[in-house]
Amino acid sequence: MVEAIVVSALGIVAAIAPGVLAQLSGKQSDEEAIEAARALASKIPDRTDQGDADTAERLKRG
Amino acid sequence: MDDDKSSAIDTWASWASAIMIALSIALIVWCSGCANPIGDQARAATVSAGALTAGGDVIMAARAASLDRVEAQYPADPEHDAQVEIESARWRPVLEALDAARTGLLAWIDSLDLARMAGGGDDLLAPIAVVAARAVQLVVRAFDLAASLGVEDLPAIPPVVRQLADGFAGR
Repeated sequence: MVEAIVVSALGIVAAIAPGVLAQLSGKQSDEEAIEAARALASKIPDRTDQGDADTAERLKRG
Repeated sequence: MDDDKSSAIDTWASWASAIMIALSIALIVWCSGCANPIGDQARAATVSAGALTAGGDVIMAARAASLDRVEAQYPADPEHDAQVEIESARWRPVLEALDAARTGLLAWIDSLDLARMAGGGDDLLAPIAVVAARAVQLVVRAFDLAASLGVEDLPAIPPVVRQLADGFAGR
């Protein structure tokens, strides 16, 4: 649990950091902001598939 | 000794989460002054996607821990398989809610991109506000559902993100 929180926190900071820096330099366009959002959202895994795979693995080893 | 170490790690994790949320809020508050509706919404979507990623990881870890306990309690078949399936089914609505929230977020982002390509007029932003509000609500509902199963330490949706969605919904 703790590991998940820490990894997620670091992941989010790493994901938004380029956008923050681009904003600070006044260079992030709408298109770049949208692409940054899409890049992060696209990386979110399908949780139902993830759960099904985990359940199948548990049933197999049981 | 182990308890001390675990406590230190918990404290560090709490600080890391707090810093993450503070950074997100600072980013949104700062960008809210830019008077750039499409850019503001895109950054709000980025923070929402980050919260959904982090929350999803926490939920999957809690689900795994719960199933581990079930397997420890029922190590042998036929109880093992039956109990694993029951516990998996208990968590399935939460996972489906997370997937629905992700779909909502991607729809929001796609709508923003279309509005940008079409010139980004107010007549385009008004309907997107509804999509934005719905996407944020789906994230909140997924987290609420997980909390009802006892999941703790879910990331907070920054209030400014909610306000952005609500504010745009009012246009």
